[in-house]
Amino acid sequence: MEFMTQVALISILFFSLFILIGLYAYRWGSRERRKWRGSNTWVKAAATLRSVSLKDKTDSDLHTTHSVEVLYQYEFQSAVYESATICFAYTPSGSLDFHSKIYNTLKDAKEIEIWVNPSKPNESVIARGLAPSSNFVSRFGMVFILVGLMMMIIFLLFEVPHDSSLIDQIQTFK
Amino acid sequence: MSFLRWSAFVVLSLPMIYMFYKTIARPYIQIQSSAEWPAVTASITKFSAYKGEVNLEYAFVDGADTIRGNSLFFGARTKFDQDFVKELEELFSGASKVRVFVNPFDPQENVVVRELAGIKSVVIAALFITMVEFFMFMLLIGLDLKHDPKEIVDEIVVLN
Repeated sequence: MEFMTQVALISILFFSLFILIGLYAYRWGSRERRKWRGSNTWVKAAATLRSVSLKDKTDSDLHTTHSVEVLYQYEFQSAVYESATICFAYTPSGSLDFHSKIYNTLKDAKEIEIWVNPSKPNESVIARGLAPSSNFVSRFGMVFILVGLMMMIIFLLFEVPHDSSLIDQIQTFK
Repeated sequence: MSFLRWSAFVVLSLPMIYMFYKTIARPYIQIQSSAEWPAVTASITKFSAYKGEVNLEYAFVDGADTIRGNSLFFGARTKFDQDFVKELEELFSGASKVRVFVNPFDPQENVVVRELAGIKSVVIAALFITMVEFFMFMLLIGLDLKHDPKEIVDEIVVLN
């Protein structure tokens, strides 16, 4: 295989990974935003709170993330469903204040109000808000897509010549 | 407010657009257009290589003018690895003339090899431009998209 073909192939494979990761993150963020925008048609229902806990997780870099884990049960159109969704795009984060406020509001509750998607009753949320992480994840995805695309184009547009081929192109005279 | 932020974003992006032209678009255009450039024989006025830094200077006659040039390759790269420098030193030792390709419409634009010597500078520039543009977008436009976590907490309704 020619050197240039190898470079083109490797760059396509390598930067495709960036683009795929970016697309995945962007899709997740935009899907949650789409659900959030469409949630004005969701209907109120009462749910029984089965469990609620505040979780802390510390990684190897000693960064701690917090999250609230909930489980609630509700009845909708004569069927019983279970869900664990607090709001759209809810993910663990470093903001202890945000998660603590959610936990403190829910810790003593037995029955709560939830919002149910009438066309997909297994989809429900406790609050119809959109967590800030959706913007972060979408933008993170955008950067990966942009960097991947830009690098791929550069490696495909610009040839990467061997040093020896550069030398061969220099013609000197005594 | 949004119009002001977008305007600021566009104005602050202008240096990045210029950088994109200088480091990415221009070398690409030069490589493509130089395929048709005629070659002339130039006299070597200086060749030195020190710690991987290569400096070549040459001069050629264009009509009544003497044009001086120093472009071994397209792009800004002047530092090379030791083996490559050694090969260049061997090639230029004892040489008094070198073939130079000249833009017929602008003889000040001339080069010995019509290629980029590696794309490291292009890749670094592309990453830099992408990151700067992204952070500017986040700071100026992203502020409009921010959601207040307080809204989420306030929306939780406990029945009993």
